[in-house]
Amino acid sequence: MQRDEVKRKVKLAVVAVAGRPIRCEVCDEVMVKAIPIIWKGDVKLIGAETGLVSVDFASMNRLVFRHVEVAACPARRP
Amino acid sequence: MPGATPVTTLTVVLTHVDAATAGEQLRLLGGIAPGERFAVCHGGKRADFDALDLDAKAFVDDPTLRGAPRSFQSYHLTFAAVWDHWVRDDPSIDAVYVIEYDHLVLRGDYAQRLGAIAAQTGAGLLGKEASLRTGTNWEHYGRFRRDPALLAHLRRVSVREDPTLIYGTLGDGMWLSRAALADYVTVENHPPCYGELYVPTLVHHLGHRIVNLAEHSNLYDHVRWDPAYAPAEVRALHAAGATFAHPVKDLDVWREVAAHASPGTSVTSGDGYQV
Repeated sequence: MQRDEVKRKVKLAVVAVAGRPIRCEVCDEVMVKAIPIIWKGDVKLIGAETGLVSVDFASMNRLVFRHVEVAACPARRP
Repeated sequence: MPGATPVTTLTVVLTHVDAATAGEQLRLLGGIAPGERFAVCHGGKRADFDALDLDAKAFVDDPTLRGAPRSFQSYHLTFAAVWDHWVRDDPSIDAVYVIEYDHLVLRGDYAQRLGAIAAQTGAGLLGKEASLRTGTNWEHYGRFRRDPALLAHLRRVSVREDPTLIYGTLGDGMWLSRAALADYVTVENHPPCYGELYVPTLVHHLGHRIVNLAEHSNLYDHVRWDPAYAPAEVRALHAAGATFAHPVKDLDVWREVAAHASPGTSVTSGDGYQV
């Protein structure tokens, strides 16, 4: 467990420095910072697990993301 | 609709705590909301259930409730107990509101407020951030998105065009219409799944509308998974007119809220009915 915790903290530190912001397409706020890689045929967003986001294709090669929770998205709060 | 019959909500408290604490919490809730009906589903020790001095109680011996946190906890046995004990034979109950033992009601008119939103939206289930989770990085969606047993089950029971859609909600504070609960308890052979995913997903696929309370009100602004609210925070929320706070572990602040209970103000449902 301690080793996992160390790995987690290292990953968070790397993402904090090298991660790129991912914004909600509705409210434009930064939801997470992530490092995109292609790994074993999948696209991984290292760091995206720190937030709760939905994804969609906006075009044939562009992914867009949104807050899942209304409470987190200023543009969607009643 | 003018002259519409008011919704009678049965509030079901899910608890595992000792009899004295559970009994006191129910009495305090009754003092905060004297017009409401309460019942207890106890999933802890049998001895604590037996010692619980309440008429409206049911013991739920569900092994999934004792598993690792956020694993395969389910609501099947709880919902069946609620249906069998209180709802099936009482047509006056229109809705069931399921809360955890540390969900503190701050206003006596909470059920009317929930009922008004349900009437306005046609909800079968109201929940904290109850929403579609397909296409999200929600941890539990990732766990079950390709689960063969779940997908086969949904294909069998779903009335929807797309039987693969997955929903999610916070487990605490689910409000179900009588019809949604009735349909849920008729389903057999539930696959192993996680309740916060399975309940709204099944209810959707049985044809009922899943409604995110956050899209319609601020009622659940102070209902969260964690951390627990400190007493000072609860006092401030109560003074500010908030309706709920969860989780609230400190029993002393429960007592304070009950001692200064507010019945709340009347609300109007979307169709103009004054409750």
